[in-house]
Amino acid sequence: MSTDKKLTKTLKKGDLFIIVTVIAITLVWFLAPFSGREDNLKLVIYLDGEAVETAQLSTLTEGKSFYVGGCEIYADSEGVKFVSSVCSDSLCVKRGTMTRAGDTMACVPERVVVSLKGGSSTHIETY
Amino acid sequence: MKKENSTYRVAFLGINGALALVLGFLEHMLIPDIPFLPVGAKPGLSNIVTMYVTDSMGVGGGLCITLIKAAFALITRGATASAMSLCGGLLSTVAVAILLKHRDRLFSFVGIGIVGALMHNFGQLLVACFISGTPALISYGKYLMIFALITGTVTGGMLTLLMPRVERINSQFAIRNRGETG
Repeated sequence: MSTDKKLTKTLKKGDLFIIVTVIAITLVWFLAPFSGREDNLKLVIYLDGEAVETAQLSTLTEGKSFYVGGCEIYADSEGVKFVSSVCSDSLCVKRGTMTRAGDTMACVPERVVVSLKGGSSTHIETY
Repeated sequence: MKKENSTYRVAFLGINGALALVLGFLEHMLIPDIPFLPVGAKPGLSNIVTMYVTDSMGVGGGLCITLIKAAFALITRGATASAMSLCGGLLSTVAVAILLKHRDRLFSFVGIGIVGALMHNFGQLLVACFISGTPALISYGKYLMIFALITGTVTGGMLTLLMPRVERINSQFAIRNRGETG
């Protein structure tokens, strides 16, 4: 266990500062109420940075598929997910279903981004 | 290492560039998609090489390794992957080079590794935001930050363990070469 001792001995003040800072920022980021209300979620699908499809998640009780770029995206009242993509790695499909406001996932090669927004939009519409 | 000739530098960069590519390829093969890890996140074992080269040759050497990795990504995985590799690598190498100036006094390889991993992820996320035109993607960064903390500690720790051994080999070669030429 001499190598372990050596490792802990090598940690400097700056390292501890970095570790603590990173943990603090991550905690704040996770706990921060950026995401808005969890009910009344709005689905926005972007292609090349422009919103091409929007839908109120609560209205999609039967589920609906969207075809944007080379991607198939399925949404229902529970959440939204990438079903398939023509890109080679299909990382977007592996990410699974998103259900929370503020959640965003992308198929970068196809430039398709799917985002769930909090329910503030109804508020704006009523002025 | 400061006074080595250009032949030595080319060979050194070639060997380490190849090592970075092999490590990148190996982790791509060996590490499956684990469900609870951020998608697309990799341990970044090749960052060990980038850190080592930046430490021994300065920021120019590190940038050369970054360019080699980006060129390889362009050939094997396409323009998007290459742009992400290049931007992440550039930010990471510059940050590592700055922190390396204060190594032993303020930072060890562990802290430098964490910052390197963070900047690498941040650079890639910036490219993803830029290509997709969606700044909201930056919210994915919170997952990547935790991951960078772990992978940076691993790569930095590995380099801490490897460095004395590599230096010993280097000094043995230096002695042998001096013997042959002298």
